[in-house]
Amino acid sequence: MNRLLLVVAIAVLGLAMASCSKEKPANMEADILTFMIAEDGHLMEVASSDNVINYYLSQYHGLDNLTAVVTLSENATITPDPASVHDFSQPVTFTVLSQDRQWNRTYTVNVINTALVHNGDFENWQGTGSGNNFYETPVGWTSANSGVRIIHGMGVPSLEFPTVKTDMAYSGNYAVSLNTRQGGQTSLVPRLIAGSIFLGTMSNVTLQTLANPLLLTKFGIPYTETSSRPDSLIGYLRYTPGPTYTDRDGNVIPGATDSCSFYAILFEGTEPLDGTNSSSSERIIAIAKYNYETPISSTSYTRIALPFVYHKEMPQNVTLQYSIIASSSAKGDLFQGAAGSQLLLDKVEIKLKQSEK
Amino acid sequence: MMRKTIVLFVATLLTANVLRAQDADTAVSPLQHGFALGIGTGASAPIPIPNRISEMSWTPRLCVLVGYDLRYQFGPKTGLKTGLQVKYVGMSAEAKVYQMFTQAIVDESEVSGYFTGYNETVLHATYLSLPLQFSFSPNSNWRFDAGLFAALKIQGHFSGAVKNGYIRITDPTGEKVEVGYEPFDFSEFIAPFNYGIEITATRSFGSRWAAWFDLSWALNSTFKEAFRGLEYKMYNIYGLFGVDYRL
Repeated sequence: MNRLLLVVAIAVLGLAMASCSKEKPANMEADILTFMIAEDGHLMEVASSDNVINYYLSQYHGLDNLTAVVTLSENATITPDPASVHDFSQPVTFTVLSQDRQWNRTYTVNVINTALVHNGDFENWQGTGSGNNFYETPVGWTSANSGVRIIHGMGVPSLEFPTVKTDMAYSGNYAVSLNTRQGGQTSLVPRLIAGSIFLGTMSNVTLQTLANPLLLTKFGIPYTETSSRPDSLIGYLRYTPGPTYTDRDGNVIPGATDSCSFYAILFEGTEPLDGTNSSSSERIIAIAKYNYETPISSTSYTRIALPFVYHKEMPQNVTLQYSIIASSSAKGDLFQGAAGSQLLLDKVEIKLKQSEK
Repeated sequence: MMRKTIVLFVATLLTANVLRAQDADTAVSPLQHGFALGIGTGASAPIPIPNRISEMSWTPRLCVLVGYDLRYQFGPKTGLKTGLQVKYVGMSAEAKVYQMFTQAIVDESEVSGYFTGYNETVLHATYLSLPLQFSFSPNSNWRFDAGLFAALKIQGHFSGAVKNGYIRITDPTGEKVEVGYEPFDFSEFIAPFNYGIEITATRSFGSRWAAWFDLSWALNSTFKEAFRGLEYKMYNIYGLFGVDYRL
């Protein structure tokens, strides 16, 4: 009898444990994890949310005969071969196929010789995604729209992207429209989502950073005009604040009016800055920041010219980066602002001045 | 599935009534009844265990059965067995999973996608179970019962956490979101009905006492069809042993 019990008991456990020794299944992921132009040598991490890779060359190089080095998800394959010579004077599309051959991702790579400011007139746009996850981004720029795509995946599919293309341009055909959207009611989905556009990248997301977007935005692209220094930031802005200003808990603050932010930073070091230190880091050399002295019209574009204020001398022989950042709610990163605020931005440029040596 | 379960349930009840009726008509009672008390353990597991689960540790939980048995003997060797049992079953498990579809509800936000990392779960439930088995007794000491059971959930709890990993939102090419520790509670998704196969081996000791081993293997998932938290169906598989006291 005892033996019988034992045998049956072992049979039950054996069933449950039986197939633990199976082979690891084929990988389903199809990501480009890092990207580098071999002739440039600057390794760039690619966030999982990116379908567009903006690679800013750290020194001037012809674009028509470059090769790339990528790292991919384990056992994924890529076509065409990045190591063969490509003409990057136009965007180049790569497709990554997962090991299990069931999933693929398409990446558009823009290799950009840093010009101040590439696509600052927001005429060139690229679309990614499909259905209600489709959105467009101006070439060379980054928005936080990919974060909204995550929110779509969390059961708020109707949330509109905050950063969109508009034909209400100051010049040319298009401008960028930044819109503060009403978000969600839960701790993972921010109550207020401001529209933003910047030069830099998005970082990989954690559930914590989704609720703290200050850590998600990585500001900075190479600054290569080492014989000159930024003198002023110029842009054309149109701004309409939303009707009701709320704090981070959603409480209405009577009398408060939303305002936009528009600024540029020049800083040293190879690491990017993020939303927590983009105006306070000791690495910052100069800032040009809109300070609300010039009122911005809501019905026509207002030219804003902002001088770079230098905190220290331009250092020599160090890696320099810069970024331009704009948002439809100046305190949107703290979830304060007014849903419905809209900033239209066009024709952004940085005027240079020869360095006095 | 549910309709089938109900039919089985009703059929079993009817059978029990027929047995009672026959009891009244028979001079030498072929009807026997008694109480059963047992303990044991088991698991709710996907069968076979998918290869997306690479490591698994399972912690047994003490399962308890209290039941009333009713038996009708056709002859010296064959018979029918039914009854009513209150069964408390459960387990804890921790698994290392690789790109397994899952769903977590974090502060009312539903996050679904492919998770790689660790998963811990605690499951326990109490069922009111009704077996219907054919009996075969090769000799006066041993009896083997085999048949089906239908069970009604009285109480159920299923909770756990995904931790130390990442989830690809919606599909494996979606945004990668790192997960530190995100608890979940899917108690509401435990199916109200459970049915399956039940086999029992019984050894008699005298005219009143017997010892038994009982294995029940559910044929429907522990969870409702609507449950999307796991890609796989989980089946209750529990083994118990105990004693019978014949009245």
